[in-house]
Amino acid sequence: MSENIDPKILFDLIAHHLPTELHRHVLIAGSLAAAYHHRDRLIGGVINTKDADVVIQPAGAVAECERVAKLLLTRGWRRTNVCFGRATPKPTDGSPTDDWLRAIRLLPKDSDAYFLELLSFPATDQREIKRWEPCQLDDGWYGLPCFRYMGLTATDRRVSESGISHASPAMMALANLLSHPTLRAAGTIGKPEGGRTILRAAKDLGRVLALAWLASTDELREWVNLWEPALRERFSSEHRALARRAGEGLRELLADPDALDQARHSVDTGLLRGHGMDAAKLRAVGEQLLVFALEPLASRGKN
Amino acid sequence: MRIESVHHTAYPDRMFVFSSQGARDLHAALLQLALTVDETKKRKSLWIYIPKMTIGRIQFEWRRFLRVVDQKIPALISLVALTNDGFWASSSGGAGDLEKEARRLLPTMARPASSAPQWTTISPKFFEVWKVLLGAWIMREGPLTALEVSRRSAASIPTVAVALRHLRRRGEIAETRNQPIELLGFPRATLREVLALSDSLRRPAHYYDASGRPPDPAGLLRHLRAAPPRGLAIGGVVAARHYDPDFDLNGLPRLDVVVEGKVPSDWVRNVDPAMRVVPPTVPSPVLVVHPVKSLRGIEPTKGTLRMADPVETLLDLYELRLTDQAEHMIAHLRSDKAPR
Repeated sequence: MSENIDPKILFDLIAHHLPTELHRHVLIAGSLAAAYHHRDRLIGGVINTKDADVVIQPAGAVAECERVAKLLLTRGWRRTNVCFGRATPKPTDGSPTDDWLRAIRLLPKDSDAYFLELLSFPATDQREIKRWEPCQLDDGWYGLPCFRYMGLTATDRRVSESGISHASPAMMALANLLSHPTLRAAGTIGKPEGGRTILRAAKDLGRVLALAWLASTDELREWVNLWEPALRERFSSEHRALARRAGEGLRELLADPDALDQARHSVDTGLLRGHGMDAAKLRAVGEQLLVFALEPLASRGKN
Repeated sequence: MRIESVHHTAYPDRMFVFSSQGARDLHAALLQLALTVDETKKRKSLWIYIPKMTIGRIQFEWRRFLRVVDQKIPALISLVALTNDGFWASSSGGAGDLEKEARRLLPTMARPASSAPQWTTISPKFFEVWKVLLGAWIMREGPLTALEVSRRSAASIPTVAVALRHLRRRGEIAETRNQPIELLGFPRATLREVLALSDSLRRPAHYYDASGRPPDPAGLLRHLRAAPPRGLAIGGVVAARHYDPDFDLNGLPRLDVVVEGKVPSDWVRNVDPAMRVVPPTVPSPVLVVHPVKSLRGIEPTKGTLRMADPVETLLDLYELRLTDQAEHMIAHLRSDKAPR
C-alpha cells in the first residue's frame, strides 16, 4: 500500500469506485477532506493517510448505512483485517462495551490505496459526543460511530472536482473543538503514534490547529461568520452555551505542554508534515484562533 | 549622556575611554570612533575600560555595531575592552600582550582630566528638537522661533538652547542668536548619528510572526485598517507612498507603526496574537512599532488610518536602507509639487 498519496487522486479514485447512486449520500470528512482542501499547501502535494472517513447521510439513517455497506460488499468491496462482525450487538462475555463493535472499514474491489470508514450522520437530538450505532450486516454486528458535532459539517460543505462532497475546514474545526471541551475525557487513541501514547483530544485539537495554520488569517477571521449561524441552526436551544464554551478544550491544550507536544507530534506526522512545526508555532496559531474566531464566537454567545 | 575620550600623543591610533556607565557609553564611544575614522580614513582602536559591562555583552554590541556602520568602517576600527569580568580584543593577534598592556594602561590612562567634554552624543531630548527642525525644513515651513520649537518638541527652552548650540557647532543651523531657527540643509551628519543610535533613541519594538506562516505585513495593514486603534499612525513604506506618489518600491518589506506613548501590546494582540517581540538584531521583522511623545502627521478621516509625519517616515526608510527612496521623498516634499 502506498503511504503517501495525492488527495486529489484519492478523491478521484473514491468517485470512480463508489457506485454513482451513492455519491449524493456521502460526505468525506477528517484528514482526507482537510488535505484535499489544502492540497496546494501540502509538502510534496501528498498525504500519508489511507483512511477516508465517510459520513453517510441523511441524519440518523442507520438503515441507510446498512444499505450502503451491503451494496458495497456485493460490488466486491472488501473488509479490512480489523473489520469483522460480532454475533451480538452487545458483549456477552464481559468485554468492555466500547470496544465490542468494529467499525465498517471497506477496501475497494481492486485497490488497497485507501479504505472507507462509514460514519453515521447524527440526529439533532443526540446528546452524547460519540455514540456507537449497532448495524447488522450478513456476517454479524458492526458499529457506526456517530459524532454529535459532525452534523455541523453539513454546513458549508464543498464539492470536489470529482463530484464527491467534503466537509469544509472551518466546520471540521468547530466540530472537533466542541467534541473536546476537556483533554482527557476522550482517552487516548488506540494505536500509539511513533511509539508514544496520544490523547484523542490532543490529536483532534492538533488537527484544528493544523486547519487554522493552513488557512490564511483573513479566512480565520471569517470562520466565526460560518460557525455562529451553523450553531444556531443545528443546536437552536443551546447554541449560545456552545458558542461560549467552544474554546475550552483548546485553552486547556495550550496550557498543557505535554498535550501540546502530542498535538505537535500528531500534525508533524500528518497534515503539516515537513512544515517544521514546533510547540511555539502551534501555540501562536492557537492564540490566533482564540482571538480571531473563538472569542468573537463567545461574545456572540453572550448576546 | 556624555562620554569622555582621551587622546595620547604616544598612541595616536588609539582612543582611550573610561566609562562608569554601560552600553550607551559604549555605543557613543563606538560612534565617535566611526566618525573619526570616516573623516581621517586612518585606522583607530577604541581602548575602553568599562567595568559595568560584561565581555559577552561587549562582544554582542561590537558585532551589532559592525552590522550597522558603513562597509568601509569595520576594516579601520578595532576594540580593546577591559571589564570587571575580563578582557577582550576584537582582533586576536597578540592577545596575551594586548591584555597585559590593557591592564596596565586602561585603569589610569583612560580616566580623563576634569576638563570640558570632548564630545556629546545625541540625547533623547536633542533628538526631539532635531526632529522638529527637520520636519519644518522638509515641509518648507520657514524658520521657527525657539518657543515654537520648544512647544512642538515638548522640550524646555534651556534644552532647546543646548540642542541649538550643538547644531551650530555642527554647522547645521546658522551662527545667529535670538533669531528664528531653520536648518541650513539636510542634516546628514546628525542623521548618521541618529541612525547609529536608533535603537536607543527611537526604542522600536520589533515583532515577528511566531506562527511560522510567511510574513504578511500587508495583511497586518489590512486588519489595522479594518479596525483602526486610537493613538497610532502608519509610517515606513506605506506612509512614504502617501507622501511621494512616485515612491519606487514594489511590495511591503515590513509594517512600520508609530504609537503615542509607550508601546502597547493590546492592539498588537488584536491585530495578530501570533506577533512576538524579538531583539532588533533579528533580521526581517514583520512589524516595527515606534513610540513617540505625540503623534504628528496627517489627520485621519473617518475609517482611515493616520499617516506618520514625514520625519518618522524618513527615519523608517533609512533604517530599511531605502536611501534612494528617502532622498526622492525629501526632494518631492520640498518641491512645489507637494501639497502644503
